[in-house]
Amino acid sequence: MTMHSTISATKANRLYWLGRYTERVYLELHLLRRYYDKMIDGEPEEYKEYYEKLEIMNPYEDEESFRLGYLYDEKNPVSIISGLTYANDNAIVLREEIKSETMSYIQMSLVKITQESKDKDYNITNLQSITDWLLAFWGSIDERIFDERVKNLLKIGRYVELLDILIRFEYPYFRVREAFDSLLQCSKMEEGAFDKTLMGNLDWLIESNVYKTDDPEYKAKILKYLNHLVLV
Amino acid sequence: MSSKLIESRDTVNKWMERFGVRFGVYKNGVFNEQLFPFDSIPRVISKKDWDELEKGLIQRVDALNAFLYDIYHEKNIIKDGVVPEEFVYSSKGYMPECEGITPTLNVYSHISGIDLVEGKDGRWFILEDNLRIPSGASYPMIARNICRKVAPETFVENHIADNRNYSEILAEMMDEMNQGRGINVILTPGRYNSAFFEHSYLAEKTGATLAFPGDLVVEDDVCYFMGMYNEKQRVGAIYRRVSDEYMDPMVFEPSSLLGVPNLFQAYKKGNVAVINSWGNGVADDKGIYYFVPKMVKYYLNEEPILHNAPTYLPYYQEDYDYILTNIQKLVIKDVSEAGGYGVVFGRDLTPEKLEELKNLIIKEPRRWIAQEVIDFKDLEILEGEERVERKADLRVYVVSSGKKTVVWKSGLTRFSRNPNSFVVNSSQGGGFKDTWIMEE
Repeated sequence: MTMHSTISATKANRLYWLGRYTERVYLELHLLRRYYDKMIDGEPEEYKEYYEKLEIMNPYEDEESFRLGYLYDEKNPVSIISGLTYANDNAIVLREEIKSETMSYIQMSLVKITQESKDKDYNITNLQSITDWLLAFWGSIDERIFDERVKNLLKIGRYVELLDILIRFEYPYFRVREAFDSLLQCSKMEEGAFDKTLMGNLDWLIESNVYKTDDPEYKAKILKYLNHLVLV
Repeated sequence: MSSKLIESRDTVNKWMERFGVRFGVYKNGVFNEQLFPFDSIPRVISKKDWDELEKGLIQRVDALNAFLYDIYHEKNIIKDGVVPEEFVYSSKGYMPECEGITPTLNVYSHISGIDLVEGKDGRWFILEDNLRIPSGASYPMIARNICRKVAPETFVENHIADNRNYSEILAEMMDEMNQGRGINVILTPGRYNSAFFEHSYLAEKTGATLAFPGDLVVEDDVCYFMGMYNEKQRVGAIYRRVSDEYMDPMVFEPSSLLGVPNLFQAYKKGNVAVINSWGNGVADDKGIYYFVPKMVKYYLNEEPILHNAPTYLPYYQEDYDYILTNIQKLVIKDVSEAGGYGVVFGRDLTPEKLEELKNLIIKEPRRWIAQEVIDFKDLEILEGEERVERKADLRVYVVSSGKKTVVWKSGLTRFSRNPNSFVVNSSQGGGFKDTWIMEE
């Protein structure tokens, strides 16, 4: 059989964004559990902070509509259902790269969230299977996909998204540095896909003596570099 | 037959949902993806019936390929008065641009989807030949895989021909056509094509690269797949799922964004194989269908093994008179339509509508064919938990590589969900079944 190893620009872009959206949904579910937990302790306004961190306008007026909207609002670009829809839009055109088996974890997650949205139930334990499937998706990428470039482009997207969320939600330095080192590792195989100057700037900004996410100017700069870093 | 498989219909459908087995439908300008409902009661074809069908299908496709070569070269079949030239040159599928071009290994229809129905008396009839971009093979491919997992005992107890080799048959044919020139690609119009699932699934299973509009370029009459850093990889064979007229805006539809500029030139020079070849529409035209048994005799000097449904062409005076007299008992087909559209049953029309149709036939006799309504065998399907009978057809896939013509031991059995309908197309709400070819 004739082999191929060339990845088109469109596919590279799709792989990158599949990595980003998959990671985004995984982290959003994690953050949801964190914010629900805070709200148990009588901090009902806590949800507003979530949108502040993401730097987008909060579309919800109360805790109840936040809980539902966060999960099922198809018009909200950062809802779980939107994230899974975008992940699926990318996965569906990458079947021959990631294989039907790997793709099925995204399909199942989207089917699940669509079913839950009909019941308008926000019991987060019902969504544990989505978290499990997203982890299975990444396991399948590692175990079942043998094209290193495909894997690498997905992981570039994953680490960029992870860094974005860690920085926005002011995670400690060591977590951010770990994620950045993973991204640096991935960049070696795909050097042409990175803006080298921005990579250098980020490397410098993510140093223990420089890292200070409580400084809005620093945070804005690092997020800007990060989101312009990959050229696919 | 094991009841385990039949009871597992919902499980099979769940698995198909998991793998994203869907087809797209545009309704009122809005794109929706739907599951293609699977019915777990298979269509069973005996070895004896299949052996006959197999021989007949190979014969028919070989004759159609010979016809395509002849039409775009010497045209002997016209010169000898077997097919009237009007039927060739007025066909929407005839492409004068293809005159004199010989495709790789002289194969025009590499993948032929032949639609058949089984009459109540057990005789099979050919309903239609699809020689352009016949779709649907992926559904029985994946359904069989799932059925074997869900009800393995069924496949131990019954001796059913294994159909899991379609991707190998396809890949082997693509390699043959490729001639070692470069990579194999499947060219899709994109995610919003109704058969996109199939394009991506066949790419996965054959190891071909799935190419989207814009991924391919032609330079110096050679076709390349463009990489993310503008590196180029030569393409040797393109299994295209884009219609003829949209494949090259420089030669055909200039507004097409789905094709590859100058691809026709690369094809013409023999630098890339296009699967199926350009111009096949002239042979699967509903008007040309009438002449296929004559082609078998003409090119192969053999008696046709398979029969057409009894068909009348208003072009011939005798048929014209018959159609106008008997229109209420015939099925009338507009030769320019496909996908179950443009098919009218005379018995369903009011006297006024029948008159209107007659006038259309009188005005443009070449545009229509008429067929006797075949009382075809109903197949059982599950409607809820109840078994009911519905009309069904069968699409069989025939793959030609120049060296050999192979019939895939499987097929797509589509059924109508509407009890009164003969229209089985998925785009009109039908479902599908597995097709078992028995080995003994």
